Amino acid sequence: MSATPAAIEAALGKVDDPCSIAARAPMSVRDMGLVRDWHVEGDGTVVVTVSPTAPSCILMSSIADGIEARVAEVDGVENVRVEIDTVTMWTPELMTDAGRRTLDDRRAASLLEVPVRPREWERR
Amino acid sequence: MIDDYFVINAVSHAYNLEPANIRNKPGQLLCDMLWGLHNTWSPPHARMTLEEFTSDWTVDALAQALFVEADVDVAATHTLRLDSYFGDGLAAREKTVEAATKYGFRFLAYVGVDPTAGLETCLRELDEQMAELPQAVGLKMYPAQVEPDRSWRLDDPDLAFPIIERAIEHGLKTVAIHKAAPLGPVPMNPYKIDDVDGAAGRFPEVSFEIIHAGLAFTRETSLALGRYPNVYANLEVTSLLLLKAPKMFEEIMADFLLWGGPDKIIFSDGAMFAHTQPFLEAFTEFQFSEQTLNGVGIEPLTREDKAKILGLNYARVLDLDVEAMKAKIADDQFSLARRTDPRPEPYAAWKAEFASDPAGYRR
Repeated sequence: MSATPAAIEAALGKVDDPCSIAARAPMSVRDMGLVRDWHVEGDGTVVVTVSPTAPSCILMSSIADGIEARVAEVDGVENVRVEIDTVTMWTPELMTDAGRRTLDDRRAASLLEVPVRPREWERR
Repeated sequence: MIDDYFVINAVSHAYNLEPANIRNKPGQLLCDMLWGLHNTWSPPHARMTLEEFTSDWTVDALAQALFVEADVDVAATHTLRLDSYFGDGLAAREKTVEAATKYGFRFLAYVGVDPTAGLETCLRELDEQMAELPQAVGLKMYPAQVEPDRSWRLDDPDLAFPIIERAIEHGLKTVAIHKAAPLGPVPMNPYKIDDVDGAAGRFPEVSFEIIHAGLAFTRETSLALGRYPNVYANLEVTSLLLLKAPKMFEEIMADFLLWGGPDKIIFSDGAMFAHTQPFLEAFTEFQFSEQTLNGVGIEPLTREDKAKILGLNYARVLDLDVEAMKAKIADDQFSLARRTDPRPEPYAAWKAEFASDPAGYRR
């Protein structure tokens, strides 16, 4: 039995994006917009291409580990390979609508916690 | 000057990236990262070769790149203390002294210490460097070192505060702290900007530059700009996004403008890691899109705003008289070269100097 696209998409939706967790806006690598592409090769290997949010990202190896582990759990998947796209410059437009909502909500909540007016320094 | 804007490049240095200067694997990884950024974020006509890049750059080449090959009027140069990565820290104290003494009207000097070396060492070195270079204007520090990983905080009352107090005693006007760009596979925490708040509040008489502002923690940086009169966004490397990823640059600048305003942004690029001229030409033409103006709720960037960002803000931080600076450089060797010869290609001076003795500059 070969893996269904929906099952692989769902697996990618279970891979946590570590920086979003640190920012207290937890979301998956898919919602964060890191997954550029995935396809199944002739021998059944699922190849997932991801790009970092910044060239200096130090967490790509752990993100790749997470993707391999989650996609490997899908019925019918024999092998998983993660490839890194070093060309794409990440922008928030690459996030899913759900991811953007999560981030916007977090930012709004953060501003409520620490109220700051624009150019408040001019009043000091 | 470009388009009548007086330009101060607030961060420049003559790196030593020759193989003999790289101490360890983190040093090699950092060198590789710098090369990758240079080679992919700079436009094709403004790049060095790998050999030219991974070599011991000279102050003369830096000066030519800034003041002849580009429309920079004055530049700050930092003594870098990445001592755990590079044999001489990456930009040696001697080069800062050479720049500030040989081209005194063109270069503003920053001394540098490594707080992970301990308070006594930092205070002693600060005194020594200020004795050697009393005209220095700022202090540059890095938040972390490697092998072993170790870090410190700018709001540490027992380590950072005494260093800042000594810097103020010496008359330094600004403290520049590297942030937002982790130097390789190292813990990210020291590169967050939250510790700037405590120092900025404790020392309102000195300015704090968040170097690489906007490469990460943009909103946090914006809120610091918004709250503290003495915190500034220094655009080193961030400025290159205008050429590589203009939309990212626009979003970062919009956030800084909204929260901090045009008075809190300082231009730099880290020359000659990057060549300044392509940025200057692009920035003079830069304007926010309607979508950004409406979405963020800011006004279009004016000529006055650009003048502040390109030099006037930094001059204000250092209490510099721009008209006096203009007069001092009006007839120096760089201005003369600009008036009499066509502008050389980016890095023309360094390419020629390097070609004269490749083995000597790349041990």
